[in-house]
Amino acid sequence: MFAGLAHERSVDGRVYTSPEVFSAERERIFARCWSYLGHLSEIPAAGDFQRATVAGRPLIFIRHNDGQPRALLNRCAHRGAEIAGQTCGNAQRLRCPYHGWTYATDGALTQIPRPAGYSGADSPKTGDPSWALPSYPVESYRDFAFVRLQCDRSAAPLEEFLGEAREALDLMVERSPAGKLSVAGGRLAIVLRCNWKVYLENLHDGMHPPQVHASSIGAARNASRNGKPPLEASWVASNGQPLSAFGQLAVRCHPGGHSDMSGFRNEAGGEDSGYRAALDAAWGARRAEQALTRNLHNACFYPTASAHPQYMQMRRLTPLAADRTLVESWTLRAHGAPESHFLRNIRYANTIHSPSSLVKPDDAEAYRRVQQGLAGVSGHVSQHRADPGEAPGSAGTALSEEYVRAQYRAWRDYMGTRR
Amino acid sequence: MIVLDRKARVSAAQLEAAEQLLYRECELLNTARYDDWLALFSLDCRYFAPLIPGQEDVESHSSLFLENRELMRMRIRRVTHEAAHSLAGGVRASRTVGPAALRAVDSQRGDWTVERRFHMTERQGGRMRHFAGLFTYRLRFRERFMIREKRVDLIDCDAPHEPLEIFL
Repeated sequence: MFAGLAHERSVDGRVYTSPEVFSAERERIFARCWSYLGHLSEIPAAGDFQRATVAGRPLIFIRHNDGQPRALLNRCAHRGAEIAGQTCGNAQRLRCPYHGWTYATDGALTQIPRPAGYSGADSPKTGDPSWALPSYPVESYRDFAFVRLQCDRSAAPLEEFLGEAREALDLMVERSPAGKLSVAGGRLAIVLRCNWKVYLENLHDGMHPPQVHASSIGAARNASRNGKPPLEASWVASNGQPLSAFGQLAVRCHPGGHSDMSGFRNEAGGEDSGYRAALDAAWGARRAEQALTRNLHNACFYPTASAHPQYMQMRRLTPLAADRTLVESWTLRAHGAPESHFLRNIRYANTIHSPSSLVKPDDAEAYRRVQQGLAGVSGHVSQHRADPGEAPGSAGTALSEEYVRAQYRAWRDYMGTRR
Repeated sequence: MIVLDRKARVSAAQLEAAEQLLYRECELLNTARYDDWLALFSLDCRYFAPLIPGQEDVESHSSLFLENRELMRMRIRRVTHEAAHSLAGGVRASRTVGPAALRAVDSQRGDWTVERRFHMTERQGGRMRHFAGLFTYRLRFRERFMIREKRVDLIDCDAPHEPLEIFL
């Protein structure tokens, strides 16, 4: 049914706009891939939970009393009511607010009011797995937890799924001499009026910043003329470098649609010697140096997450509809790193990922115009741009659309339309 | 009109000056006269919108907005820039405010804290958005009142938002 919508160097506009395609993507992509749930530090104690939506299903990401994280369907087995109403919290048991059916934090049904009202072999009863909350496999890589809704025997375990894209997560963990990160400083959340793919297709697009971000670049340069520019202005102004500079940014495409880009917004180290010595002792000098200087920007864990290790940012993408996408971001604190790094990263999050970001509105507007422009039209969208002499799947630069083509190779694999 | 706390001892002239200032603050934003608006703020001013209810920590917690004068000026330059694509069709906004209440007075420093409820409607890109919450102003009186801080507590500060471009 979806054959012919995505070609090697162009796609039909309906992949962004069609409710049928979106519905199929939920089942074929988002229910089958490893979806980013959150960092384990968000649920440190037994009973701590966060809500999440994966492939349209309401989930509870919760720490069971055996210390292990679980992903439970947030839907009572009785009448289907959502059990956890809050975004996050702590619960030693999960009680449905409607009729009081109660579950343990591993999903087991532990209590039904007036059990005498139920008789017969197929009736609900406590302890019966078929009346438990469905629990989906959760795997974590260095405390970054992912869930997969459909258990397919042939599916790869998380580490294999992430492949070399793991490096971005390694770089963040290895900024901590203790190898310990925790989410801190709250969640920034922005709603974009575009299809989820439009957002991912912009992650390494080095052709757009000077054009799309002209207003914020101009404003930041103006700020920079009045003495020493604030950090925020330098981050915003970095979008204004010439295209030739974006042509120096190395983009790698990994199997499965994952990708990363190195070299954007490089910051001077300024590391204190005690911290550096602790990193060297923990990881060895080479890995410590990598953690501090290898700057992967917008590393993409297709299709649900993106990391920015230099500023310790993790983003989660949740498609809400064919034309609406939620992007949430968190700052990670590296235990044992200077506090000044964390405080800088909070400023970075405010500047780049807050809904009030000076950079974001023109991106969001470009995405919205793509979505609007494609509405009701079945014309093709070009993804032809390439570096000179480029081979498919090879490392390229931010001026090539190879990472977009790589995303569509993964898309076709998931959607079953690869030819 | 500013509602007085019974303990506050302030002059009628100061009250009137503060009322004028707060009126101008909203009206200059409503009429998009941003440079005149910024002139109401002190050099060490801050514009702050918390990300979570009751947020006091601005250094180690993210904020919806956290700007000093330099960054406020940067926002003004951006929203008035000819290449601000997202604002191509223009943006209109109306802030309606409730009675202001004088919550605290530090007579020695000349600092006042004034709160008022607000409702804002914004038209941009062919759609209307609504915001509601509390404005908290920290004013400092020297020869005249200046705004040292404007804090905007949105009732849905911790919810996802579409881009927030102009000052609330």
